Amino acid sequence: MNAPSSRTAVRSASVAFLLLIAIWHSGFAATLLWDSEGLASFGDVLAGFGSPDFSGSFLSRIKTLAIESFLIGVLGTALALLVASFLAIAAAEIPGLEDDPAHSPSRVFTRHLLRVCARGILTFFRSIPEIIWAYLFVRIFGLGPGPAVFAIGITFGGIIGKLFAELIEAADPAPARHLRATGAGSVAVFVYGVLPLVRRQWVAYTIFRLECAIRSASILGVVGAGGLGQEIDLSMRYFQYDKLATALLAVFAYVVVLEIAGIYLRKIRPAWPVACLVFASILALFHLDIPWHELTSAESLKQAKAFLSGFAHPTTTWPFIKNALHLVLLTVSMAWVATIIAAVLAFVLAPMAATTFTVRGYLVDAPRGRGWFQWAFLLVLVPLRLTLQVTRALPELVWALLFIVWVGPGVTAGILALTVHTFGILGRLYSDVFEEAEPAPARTLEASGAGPLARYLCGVLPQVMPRMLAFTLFRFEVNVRAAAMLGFVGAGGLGDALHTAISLFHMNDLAALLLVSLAVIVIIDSIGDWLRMRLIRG
Amino acid sequence: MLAPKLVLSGVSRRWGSREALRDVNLSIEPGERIALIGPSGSGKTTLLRLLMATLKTSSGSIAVDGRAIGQMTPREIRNHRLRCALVDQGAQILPKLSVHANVIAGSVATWPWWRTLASTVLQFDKEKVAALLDDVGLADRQWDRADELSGGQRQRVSIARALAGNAQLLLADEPTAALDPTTSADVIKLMGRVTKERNATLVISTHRVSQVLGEVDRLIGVRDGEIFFDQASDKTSDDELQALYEGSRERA
Repeated sequence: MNAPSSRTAVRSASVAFLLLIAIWHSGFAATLLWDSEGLASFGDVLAGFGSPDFSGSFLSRIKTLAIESFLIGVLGTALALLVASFLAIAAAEIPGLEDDPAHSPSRVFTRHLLRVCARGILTFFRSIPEIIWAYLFVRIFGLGPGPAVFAIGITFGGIIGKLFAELIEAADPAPARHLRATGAGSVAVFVYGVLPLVRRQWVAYTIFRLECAIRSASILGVVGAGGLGQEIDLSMRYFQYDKLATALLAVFAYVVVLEIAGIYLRKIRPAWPVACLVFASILALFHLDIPWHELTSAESLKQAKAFLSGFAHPTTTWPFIKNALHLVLLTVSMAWVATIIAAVLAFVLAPMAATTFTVRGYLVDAPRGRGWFQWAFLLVLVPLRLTLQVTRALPELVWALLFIVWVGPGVTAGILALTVHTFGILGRLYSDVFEEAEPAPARTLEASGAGPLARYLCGVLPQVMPRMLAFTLFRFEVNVRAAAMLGFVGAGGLGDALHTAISLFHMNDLAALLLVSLAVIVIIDSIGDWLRMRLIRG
Repeated sequence: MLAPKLVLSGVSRRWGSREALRDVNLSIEPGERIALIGPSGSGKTTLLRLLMATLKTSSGSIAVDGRAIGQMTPREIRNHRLRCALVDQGAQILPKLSVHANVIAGSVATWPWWRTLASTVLQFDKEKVAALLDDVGLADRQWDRADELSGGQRQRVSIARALAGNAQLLLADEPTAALDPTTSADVIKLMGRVTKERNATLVISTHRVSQVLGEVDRLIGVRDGEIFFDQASDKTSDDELQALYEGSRERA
């Protein structure tokens, strides 16, 4: 509807051009979807859903594993909170105290050094996906829930810590200044001047991340780290598709229950979820078999030293670095293809899942008219919402396993898995954005007789477009990391090489691969941050 | 297209337990020029929304050219809304879009879906919109952003939009409440002129009776959800106006 269409055209053209390059570069072959052999074996998987294994013994095993997954997620989050709080306080610059004359230059310098280190550790922790940590710990400590707990603690510690630090820095500087003026020390300033301001946000974000961690814990088992994922991996390996069907249904139910619980948890007072977290963590401490003593054993210290010294002497031979770069770029291409295809699908379909454009409308208590066709939209709306729910609920790793059965191992399976999962996520995010949009313009249009399409295009889209683009961009960044994990189950990209390096304890290779991917992730994230700033400012 | 004939019989509207309108019987002929007056909260806005079919009646019925709104199909309701246009204090602007897009939005409802889609990249009816904007005195603002306009200019955009959609029933909900006296008079005159030129019905709700007296022939006084008086504007005395505002529950 708007005038500067030339700019829009240039932007769309460059996105399409980059998409074509990425498709060519990654070797994405959608034609594999029509391969008769692949279709037949995927048919076998679907047949498994016709007769899932609901025998008593198997169901009780699934139940045990689901509880284990839940407890892993909870204990992992508790660990992550410890890591995050310490690192966040070290990494954040307390607002209002930037140039305190009471601080000696040497103290300012030490504080600055500490801050830089803490930030570096946070970045390092959260840049490596939890499944890589999990597999590394499985190789060091052996199978079981312990590696999953440590992995979630580290990755989520990095993620939560970064946001905690950002919240501290965004807090109102006035209370801290007042306290400092009364001569209060650092601890007092933090406890009375900063903590009360950020506490609510910290709790809210922790609950959100707790959900993510519990969801993530359901799949870490595919590398042997306990929980439901274990059973998915096993049943795929032995072609027991009836058991696979049960396990997948269990993951789906698990995620849906979690989502409903999440909605409920957000409604009650924040003290309750925190109490639940504490209680469940204590339960998990007793219930899960965590190899705490192994943490300080000579053997694992040796491995940790090997891991760290890998970073001191990463493999730097040119063929290896060249290959690493190639793999990282391949991973970025996978993420780009998947994100764009999913975004286009979601962009077209998400409005049809929103009631405001179809069934409900924007006018409150207005006459809707009589006739059967006002319900015809439900025929689209209900199946679409269901599809979004299923694609979102099953993690990309599970989709990757399924697509590997269909199109064989490789990049194509990885891209398809990312596309399907991202479609579910973006579809949901877009419809949330539609719902949060200022309703007045669309209401005006509806009151003047405009139909669903005009309401969407002229009333809602102009105001939400920047946010939709920002979400999509953010999802691309998440997908780059996700694409790096998919190789762990054989879906192409960097993950394959990481898996090999960890399996063979080639710590120098691992360090080189991680450093290259860290560098690329940092570059992509900064481009993303810059673009998002521009988008939001309009 | 001719302006619609509206007949309200026994119309009530409740919000929870509060009755905003009670047993209103009213008939509006095509091309009539009406001012709705009455204190805040008397039910003027509710009445306008009922006329546009953007709000259900709690009881009673509204007939548009003999067809009750309650019996209409969704398509008929959209067509009725298409014949109506609302000018209010200035919120009826589509933000982030140009003035051109805001005016075009009045006719979008009549377009097939493919034309609506195409309008996101192409610009249709440039000359028509330019002519309409010229008519309402915004000729040079066609490509500016509408949310950057002043209050009076926003209302001119609303009026241009109504004209773009060939609205036959122009409803104005306290259009001058946020404007200075000169601008108010201009906007009212503009609404009077464009409706007269097109034989459209005009219903203005307002507190400032003196401002609209030149443009309307019929005054409807509303108080506490009921019709207080309904007569030709030149027959209404100052005493009646005084009584309309004084005895209401709001003041009591």
